[in-house]
Amino acid sequence: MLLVKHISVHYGKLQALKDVTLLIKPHEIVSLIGANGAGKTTLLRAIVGLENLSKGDILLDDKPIRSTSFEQVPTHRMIEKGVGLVPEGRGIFSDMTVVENIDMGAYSLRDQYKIHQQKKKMFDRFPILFERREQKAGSLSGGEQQMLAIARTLMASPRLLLLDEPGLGLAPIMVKQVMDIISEINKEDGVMILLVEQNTHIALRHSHRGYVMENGKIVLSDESSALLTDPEIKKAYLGG
Amino acid sequence: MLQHLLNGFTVGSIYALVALGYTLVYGVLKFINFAHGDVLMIGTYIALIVFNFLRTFIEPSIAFIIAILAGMASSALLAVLIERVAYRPLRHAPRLAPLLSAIGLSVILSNTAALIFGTKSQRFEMPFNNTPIHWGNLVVTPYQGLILLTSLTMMVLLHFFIKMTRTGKAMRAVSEKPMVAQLMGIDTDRIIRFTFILGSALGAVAGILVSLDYKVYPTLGSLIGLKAFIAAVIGGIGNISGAMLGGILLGVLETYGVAVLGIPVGYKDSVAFVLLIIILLWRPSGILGSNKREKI
Ligand SMILES: Nc1ncnc2c1ncn2[C@@H]1O[C@H](COP(=O)(O)OP(=O)(O)O)[C@@H](O)[C@H]1O
Ligand SMILES: [Mg+2]
Repeated sequence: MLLVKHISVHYGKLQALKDVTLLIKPHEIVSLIGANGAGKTTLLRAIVGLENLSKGDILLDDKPIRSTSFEQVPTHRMIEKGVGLVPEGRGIFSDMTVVENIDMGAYSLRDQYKIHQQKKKMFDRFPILFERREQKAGSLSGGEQQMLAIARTLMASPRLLLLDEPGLGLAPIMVKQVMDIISEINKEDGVMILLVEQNTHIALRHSHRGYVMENGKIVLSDESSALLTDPEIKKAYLGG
Repeated sequence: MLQHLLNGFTVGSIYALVALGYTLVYGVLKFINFAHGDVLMIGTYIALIVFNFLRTFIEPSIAFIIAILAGMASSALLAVLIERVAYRPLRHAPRLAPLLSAIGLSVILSNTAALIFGTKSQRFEMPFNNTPIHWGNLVVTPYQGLILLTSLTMMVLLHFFIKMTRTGKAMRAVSEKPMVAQLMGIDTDRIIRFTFILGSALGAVAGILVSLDYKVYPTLGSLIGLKAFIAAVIGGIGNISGAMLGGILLGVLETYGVAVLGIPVGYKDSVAFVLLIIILLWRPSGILGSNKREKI
């Protein structure tokens, strides 16, 4: 369970997050929607400690991981704690091969047998990555790079997966493939997912609940099915 | 002709070892560690002291190996210290700040060395034989052989280390995308510290090897450091094979410049600058450098 409690984040004088509260329960896919510049990426960065909070705290399974008062869990420890972020723009290591990228995802694991098993699991789930394992990751297509970014993060078996616009720049058919994989990961492994997407329709269709963010504030949250039929949402985010 | 190539290769492999120190640190921090030459000079002095002390008790070759290890260790220790107190606090400062910090440290280190060790140059009192060996037309001194063997071995080992090991891959990850590296669980501070250790230990070896033929003096680091820096830029700063290539290219061309083109020995050092200008006009990011332009 992830609980974000009344957090604020500032970039200098600009307040990017204003008193944001958000909850992800076990086995849930939660989508976070909102226009460009609303503060979605900032929230994900704050969860993994890439931005500092100016107010509030964040708890993972009832244990505080961030606040303004105590020693924070450093970003490089978050994956050990079970929180993986697939960053905006995928963040693959383009000078490294596909399999080396996967190896980096296993950096926090020490058990060679476990690494081997995880690798096998990933290559079974993403056969295209197995085919391209010795290629430079930079030579993959956008969709393949997104698969790689997800597979790499899954290597460490996170309990919570944060995805920042996984569909960005992909052809519609690839977006659908990526979304199906996300649902599958959630169903089979029970991984909690926080899905940030600008493609509101697709995000709501693939999630249980959704939060709507505007100018750094959560303005609405509900079951995804309810948000899909909400007249306000329809007007603002679903093109009528 | 072959003789000049061999001589050039020998000098070049020294440049390459030092150039690796610049390029490795540039890779993970995108910053030129201008104190690198002086850090290796201190390591060389420590090795000299350890060697001259030990050789009265034990077999000189064993004393020399211990001296090299001591030199590597002290350079590494010094580099870690410098990184912690002079660079890390400036990591988020404007890029000029750590650069100035490095230049300042370079001055402090060479002056401190002059104060402690004196400005008079000293030499490794090598009791072993350096009579040249003749191989057909080729003349090889045992020192040359030692330099070539050691530096090439180190470069091959480094290559496989970076390519194959967990830490080597983490270094590449940090150098490409430090933020993502953290998300993978990589402690970037640890990798940066390790990179300083690796680079300065290689530098100390180069400093000791070059002192076999020349001598040890407080500004030893500045000259070899400058040449190696140029070599790293020629090859493409941040690129490991580039540093090796740039170093060897520079060594060979310098030697040819004097021996074949008849450049007066006094102007030998200008070969490096001319080469630098030509290469940068032709390829602004070095021979093997990426096409992205990086500001220093
Ligand atoms: N590193 C930064 N420095 C200053 N302002 C930033 C930075 N990153 C984002 N912002 C600002 O914070 C706000 C939220 O940005 P972001 O979280 O990236 O939004 P989203 O991901 O929803 O598009 C925007 O106004 C953006 O301009
Ligand atoms: Mg964003």
